[in-house]
Amino acid sequence: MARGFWPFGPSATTRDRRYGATATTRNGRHVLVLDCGGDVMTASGAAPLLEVRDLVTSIKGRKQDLHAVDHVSFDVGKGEIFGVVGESGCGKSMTALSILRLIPANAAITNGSIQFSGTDLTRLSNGEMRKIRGNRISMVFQEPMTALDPSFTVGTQITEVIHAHSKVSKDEARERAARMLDRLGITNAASRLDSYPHQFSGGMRQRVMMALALVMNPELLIADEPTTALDVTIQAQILDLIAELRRDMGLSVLLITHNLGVVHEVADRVAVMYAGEIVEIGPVQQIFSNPQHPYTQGLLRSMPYLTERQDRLYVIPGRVPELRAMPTGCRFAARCRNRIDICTQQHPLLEENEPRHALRCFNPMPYVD
Amino acid sequence: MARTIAYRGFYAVLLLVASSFIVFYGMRLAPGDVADVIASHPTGQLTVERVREDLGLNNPLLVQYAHYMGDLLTGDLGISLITGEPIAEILRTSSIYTLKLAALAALLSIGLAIPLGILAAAKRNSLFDQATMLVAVIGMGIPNFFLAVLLIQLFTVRLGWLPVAGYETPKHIIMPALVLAAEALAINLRVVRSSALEELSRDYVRTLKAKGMTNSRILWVHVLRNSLPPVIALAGIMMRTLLGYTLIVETIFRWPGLGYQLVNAVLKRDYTLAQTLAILLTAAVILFNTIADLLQQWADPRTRGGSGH
Ligand SMILES: Nc1ncnc2c1ncn2[C@@H]1O[C@H](COP(=O)(O)OP(=O)(O)OP(=O)(O)O)[C@@H](O)[C@H]1O
Ligand code: SF4
Ligand SMILES: [Mg+2]
Repeated sequence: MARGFWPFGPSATTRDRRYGATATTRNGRHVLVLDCGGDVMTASGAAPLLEVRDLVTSIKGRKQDLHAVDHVSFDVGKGEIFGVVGESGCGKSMTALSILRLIPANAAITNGSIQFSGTDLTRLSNGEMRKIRGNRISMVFQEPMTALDPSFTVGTQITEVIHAHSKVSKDEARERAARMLDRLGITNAASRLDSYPHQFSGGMRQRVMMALALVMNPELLIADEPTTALDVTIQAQILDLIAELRRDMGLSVLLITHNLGVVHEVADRVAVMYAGEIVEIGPVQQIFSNPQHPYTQGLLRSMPYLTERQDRLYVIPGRVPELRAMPTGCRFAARCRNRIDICTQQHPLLEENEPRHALRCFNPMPYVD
Repeated sequence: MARTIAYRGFYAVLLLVASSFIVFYGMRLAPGDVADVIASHPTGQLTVERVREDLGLNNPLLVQYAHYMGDLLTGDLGISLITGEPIAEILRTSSIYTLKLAALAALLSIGLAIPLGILAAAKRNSLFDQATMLVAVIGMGIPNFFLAVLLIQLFTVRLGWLPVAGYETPKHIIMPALVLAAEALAINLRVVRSSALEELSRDYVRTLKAKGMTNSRILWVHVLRNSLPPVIALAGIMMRTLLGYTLIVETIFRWPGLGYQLVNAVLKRDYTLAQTLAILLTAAVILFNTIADLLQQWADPRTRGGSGH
């Protein structure tokens, strides 16, 4: 599935050179490491659970394939909450779906590797991948209203995950499902198993989704905008829940959101994505106290609760370039206040500017709020 | 749900009264009347006037209607004016034939449409999908009497496999059932396919994949279940259409069902028989519609409401 899946498209070598990647050997396998150093991508503590390297996910276009995810690299450590932020369409969901290999039929992973505790997910067979989904890596989606099958009870939908991944009796599966619902704060869990999704509120449904995702005790939870569709109080509850699960179960979380507030609340490290690329990556404190990339600064400035003047909320001017018409230089150049000549001529690399903090910018500026 | 049933029931009864009156009235409007037929019978010594008197044909229409409906509702169906056979008896034997034929046709059309339609959706644009849709287009476009002729040509004239008319052996039911099922099968195929295609694109399918479900479980459990409401909704209409088609199909294949009897009765101006058959067939249609409505509500838990809280 990985490299060379499609005969067309730019060859890996030219792309890699442009991004300043070097080839090295790790675990006896040929891998690519960005020249800013593996350090930046790596989690704080122990060995990373998930290592995404040079991931390219292409959408088959009429004339050429378009890179919805363009040479993205990051790690998620054991027990770490890793945030991915960026405006709509920057490739967050595509990145998440690539990890589980659930990208749409017209898309394909055309480059890179996704190491998950030592196995490259891009090289697994469909059957092997299925054993990982919902079991060792699970995912919750944005739409709690439509993500559940309306025709089956919540109990059936949770127990079918248990049956798919383990050999347990029906009663035991039901018991486990009830315990999980209870753990996620649903009252009368045992009797609620027989309810249909439409009998739950949005927030409760998202808890059901989480129960479904967590019932097999996965190592990694991918949460794609898990709170976006919910109102603020419920949003906070779900985020608390995620933080709590990390603490209690040692869960690693890849948290995708366009809301910097959510990242600030729970994440340890964050990658800021723009037009398919990571433009800044680092620990949340550093990114929030000292954002370097003009795009990150713009995002922070447009965050409602940091600038008190809600009536005059800052909006980054201009629009995201279309995948079809990506500029050769910096992709943010058209909207950037710090633009200098080189920005439109060369593509900036993701480079470390302080320990564990990297950015893709020729002319970073100190942040003045 | 009980409220819905009561409402639908009331509506059905109202419809039945109205339609029975129309049938009753329509029969009297037709040119020529049964008195002429009976009186002109070669062995009969009856005068037209005498027959009219006996049958109450001189009473005002409303009185005749009330009289007739009263008898019908108390189970007194009377006798055929032509053969003298009790209508209840005719009804009993012929309804069994129609039921057999319609049930087989319904089974064929639904039983084939669901698996084929779902497979076609899953293998969208494949050769199989295109072949299935071609069959559907043909099945929908071809008039059933023409299909009957084609089948008779093939299976009776050319191959000599199947008898052309009658009801004596199990083989006799095959062609009428096929012809009767054809259109419903074609419609169901398209409905199942498009419904399954729509379901396949829903968010919950992605969730199921993310849960590690196999494709076959996603397809044959989840997508199948969610694709059914439109098919069930259509089942009532389909049964109604099937009943209507039995008139043609039973007549072509001389299958002695209700439709065949009705056509015969009308041709012979057997008032009471034709009238009773027409009203009962209408009642059956209304019943099927009502059941279909209720079934559809039951099939979709979102409209079922209330339960489980
Ligand atoms: N099925 C698809 N076919 C074609 N293009 C797609 C498809 N899905 C996504 N894209 C494109 O891929 C790019 C990345 O989309 P993605 O869904 O990853 O964005 P996102 O960051 O998750 O945005 P959002 O915040 O709106 O969810 C977008 O330009 C989008 O238009
Ligand atoms: S590279 Fe240039 S245009 Fe791009 S963000 Fe930095 S300063 Fe702005
Ligand atoms: Mg998204």
